[in-house]
Amino acid sequence: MCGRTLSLLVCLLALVGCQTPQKTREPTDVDGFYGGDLDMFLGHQAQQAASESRARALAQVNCASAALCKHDFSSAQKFLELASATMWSFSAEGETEALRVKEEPKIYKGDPYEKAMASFYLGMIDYMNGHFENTVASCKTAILADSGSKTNLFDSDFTPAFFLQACALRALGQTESAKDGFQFTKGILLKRTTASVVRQAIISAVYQLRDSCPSNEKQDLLNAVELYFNALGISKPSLAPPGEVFDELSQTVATQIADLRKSSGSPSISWETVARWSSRLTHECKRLLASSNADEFRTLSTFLVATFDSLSATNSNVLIIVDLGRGPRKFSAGGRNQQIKVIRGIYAARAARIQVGNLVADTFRLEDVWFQANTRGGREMDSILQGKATFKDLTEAGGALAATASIYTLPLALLLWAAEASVNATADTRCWECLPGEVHVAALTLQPGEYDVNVSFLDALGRPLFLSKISGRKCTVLATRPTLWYLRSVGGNLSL
Amino acid sequence: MNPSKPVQPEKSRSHGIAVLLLFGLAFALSGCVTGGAGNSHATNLHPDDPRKISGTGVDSGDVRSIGQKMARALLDLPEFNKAANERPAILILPVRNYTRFRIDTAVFTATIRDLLLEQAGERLAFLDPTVPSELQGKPLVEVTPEAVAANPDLFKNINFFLKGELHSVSVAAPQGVSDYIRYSFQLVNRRDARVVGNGSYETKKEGLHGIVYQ
Repeated sequence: MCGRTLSLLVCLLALVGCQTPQKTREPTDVDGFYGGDLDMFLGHQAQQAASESRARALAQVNCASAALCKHDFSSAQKFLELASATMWSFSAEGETEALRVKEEPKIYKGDPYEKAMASFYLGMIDYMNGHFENTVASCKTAILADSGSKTNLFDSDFTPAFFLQACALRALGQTESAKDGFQFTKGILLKRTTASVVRQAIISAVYQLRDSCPSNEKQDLLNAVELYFNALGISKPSLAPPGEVFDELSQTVATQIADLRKSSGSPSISWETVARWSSRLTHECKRLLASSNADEFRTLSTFLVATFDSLSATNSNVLIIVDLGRGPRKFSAGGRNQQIKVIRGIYAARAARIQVGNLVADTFRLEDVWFQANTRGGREMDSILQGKATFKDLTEAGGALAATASIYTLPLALLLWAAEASVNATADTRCWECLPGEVHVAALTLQPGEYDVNVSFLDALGRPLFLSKISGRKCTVLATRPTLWYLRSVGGNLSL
Repeated sequence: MNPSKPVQPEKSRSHGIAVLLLFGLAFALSGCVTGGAGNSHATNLHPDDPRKISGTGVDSGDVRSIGQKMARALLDLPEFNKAANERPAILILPVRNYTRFRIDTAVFTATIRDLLLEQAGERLAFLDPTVPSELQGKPLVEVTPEAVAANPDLFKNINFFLKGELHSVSVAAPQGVSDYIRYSFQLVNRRDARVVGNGSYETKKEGLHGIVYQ
């Protein structure tokens, strides 16, 4: 009896040992960054960046963000180079622990969008220093980081890298390649505009159809929707109105379904029912798109093309990159916190208005960082974490059952609970929170010299935000080569 | 009669339980172990040694291998084996980088120049583009073949240009990244733009992520 009690105590002790004390989030850190207290933030992060912590690359990129805000580009470059070495390395420290126990002990290497942003910033600093070849190299790396997703649906569409690469190629005198680069970037932006209208129509159509869909056919409806979204992901950029784009899309989907019916691929799916729902979906989408204003879309597309063409005009010698708003943040969801969700940072600004002397230019949104964080197609680790969560559910339930069955099954219950406690399904939610919400650009043609730059930030209705502005920032235009200015609201006069 | 000792079911059961508990304890504790702590140290490596921090980019070993290969290729050229009063002078132009890697290309030019001078300093000479030239009164860093062609008298001391380019083909997948890099060099005669020698060096590196990082 005494031995049993001792064993019980030892087991309990082991279980207690496995419990990680709850870490309280340090609100002063990232909030301090967005509050403009950059020195405090930099001091704290620099300590971690120099440590042997497995999250040191995260601290390094955070330091780089703060250094960029302070216009200390040399320090930002050093931090980004250090972080990139880890982010692109293939060392696998903490891999076993991440698999067996908890994901977080693995080395922070960042998600593809974080790697892409780090490379983009390096390219931006190289551009400032006149190292245009290295800018092109960094942009290629950023594009590569954004490619090679789990499925081929999310091909590289990281517009800041494509745009900066084209600017650098133009600075190197490779005008034809630069022109191609600008065209390609414009194509991505156009495709996104069309795709968002079509995607919205598909979602609305599903809402219309779901009530009339019997519960045993709901999965077939979802399969039809998936085919549409997949086809939309790989469609070519087009200036055509969404209605015409959707017509092409519906033909592609119809052909796919016909092929799948013939090949009888995925026997568990009734392709006949999928085809029926696809047909109804097509009908509903066409009705919705026909009722929407095609002229409005054409105006929007024409405006996008005109704005972008003025941005890529050959006579502009000053490129301005403005980081706007608060970047996306990850949090864990699911019964065991095994799922990763990315939420958009909250900020009011939608554009920046730059004033240099008498010249005024509104910025153009080149990238939505949250969109990049959300279009990756999943990770292998997600299914492992889901497996861990299921294991924990089963062992916990088994333990409870064994504990209540009889006194003889109590050790089995303890064993199951010990096994359950040794596994942690919580997803790794570390992320580069200092990233901006959006990357904006503007281009100006200015004579060489020093200028006072004022920036006001505009809300969704184009009204200046009272509390957000940068005043009297000294910026220089070089005579010998193209110039790049980087601006961000935090670390300036006021935060967003 | 010595009756056999009666079996004690309670005792054997408790032994079994103890063993089970020990296994459970070992399993639970094994999950708590964190490795890697206290392993910080610096190691002296030879530049040719493979690095432990793995990546698919340009390595010090690559730079040295390329330098050695280029130096051997150039020294075999008849232009540098003629008996002549004057040593041919070479101007190394900045290496053009078309890869996805940010590279300080000066390291390539410096390595090749040093290796060539070390092996055949008596047979050739280099113009240092970073030192102000008496002819120009300013550094030759921005010198290009076009600039030379436009000002033949200004550059009459140069016999050859050594041009270098780096190209890459990179592929990414969730499992990892593959990078093929081609380094090529050309020796060009200043007078007639004839390519008198060339050489190339290729590397292909593949980095694979463990499942945790995919």
